[in-house]
Amino acid sequence: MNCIEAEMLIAAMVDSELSDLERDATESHVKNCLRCQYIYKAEQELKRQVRLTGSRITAPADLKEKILSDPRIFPGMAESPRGWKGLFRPVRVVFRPAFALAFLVLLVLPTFYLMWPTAQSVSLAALETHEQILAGDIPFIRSGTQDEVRERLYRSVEKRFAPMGYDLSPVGLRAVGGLVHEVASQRILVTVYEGRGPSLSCFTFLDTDGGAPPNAHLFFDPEKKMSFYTFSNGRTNGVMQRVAGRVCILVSKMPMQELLALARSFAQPS
Amino acid sequence: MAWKGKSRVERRESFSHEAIGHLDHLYRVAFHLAKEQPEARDLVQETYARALDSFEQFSPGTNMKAWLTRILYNFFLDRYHQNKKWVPLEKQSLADEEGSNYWERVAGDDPGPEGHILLKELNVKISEALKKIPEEFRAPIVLVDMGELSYAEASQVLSCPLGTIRSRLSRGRRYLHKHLRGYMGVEVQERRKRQR
Ligand SMILES: [Zn+2]
Repeated sequence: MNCIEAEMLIAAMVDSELSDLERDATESHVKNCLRCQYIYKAEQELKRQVRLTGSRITAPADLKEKILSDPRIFPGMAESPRGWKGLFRPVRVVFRPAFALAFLVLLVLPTFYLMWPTAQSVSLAALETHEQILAGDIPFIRSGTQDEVRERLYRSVEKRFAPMGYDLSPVGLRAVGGLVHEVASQRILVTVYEGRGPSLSCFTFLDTDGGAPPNAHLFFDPEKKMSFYTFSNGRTNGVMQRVAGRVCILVSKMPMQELLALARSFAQPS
Repeated sequence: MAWKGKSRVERRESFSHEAIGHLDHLYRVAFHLAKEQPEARDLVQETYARALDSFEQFSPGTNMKAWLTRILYNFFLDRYHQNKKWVPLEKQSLADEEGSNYWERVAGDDPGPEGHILLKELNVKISEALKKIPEEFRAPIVLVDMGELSYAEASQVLSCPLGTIRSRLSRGRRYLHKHLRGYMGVEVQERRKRQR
């Protein structure tokens, strides 16, 4: 094998695309030829750098959203006023049956709410959902602005109720996306906040039972004349409150005192 | 993707959910084919629309990434080259007068690994250099080196023989190296010894 022949095969050698015969011949030439050794190393390094360059390029978030809302691609989502509904189908897949059942029972049979075993409450289910969001087990759309997230979620329930639209920018968090749980035709809207410090999920759903989370601590704010329920699972904390016929649960790994202070500072008496 | 027993709507949905997982790859390829962001976005969105249009032609269990890439590439050709397919290598006009002498010349004055510029800067240089080399050489590099497709997959996407992928990668890397000379170097032991 001469240098011209070897050079033609070096690219394929770098890509491990040579037959055994070709590889043996090329390798033995390269071993003894300084010039071809240089080509091999240069191409190898080039390939590595090109791959690295590629890995830094990802599709813009708004392109993904555009594709997801293109009726030619995802007809269910774009045409129905429910908007994102179809996208959240995978959520059901990752739900553990007991967890899904908790949502189902609590929303369909609210009268049993207070009697339901503590570990299966809707509030604790919210804690679990938040952890799955953090772990990336539940996909959600990343959206441009807080208003967009709010509008999407609002549309997903045919404008029957709006998600709690907290502006958490004073504490360095901003709404980056949202998702909808649909269980037995009841919908729970989730706004995901990220930024400085631990992420936060805000759950909003229609108040159908008037109950309180089991094992929760009741905190009464005399100034605003409002009640807050606090509850935890490990390091994940939740604060629940009622606002104008809606239930809102904030969930985050930030310390309970901070989370409660946040809920109180944004709460308006209903 | 198990399609057995599923309705058309379910199959379509399951296809689209898997397809969206290849978004970053398609965007990367589109960006380097079309060279500009707005065109790349357009290419990718249209690719998904076309793919969903003919999703039943896709055989579950085969390589969806390559299948989608092929749709993207064909659409790119339709749009930017009015159906001009590959020009045979012998006939294409690119001047390659220095040919193999190129490596001869540069091996001697390689700056070595110390000659590397900052990684971030190098990535920018590579993107710029890719834009400068002719499309027939750029496409295999983008598919194989960046998209991590095999030669067989790349030859399917580009509708050309496997040998063509080989030779275009070989020459393509040489052109790319030419544009990046002075920004990246490699260690060759013998040369180092000689210098001491
Ligand atoms: Zn040689």
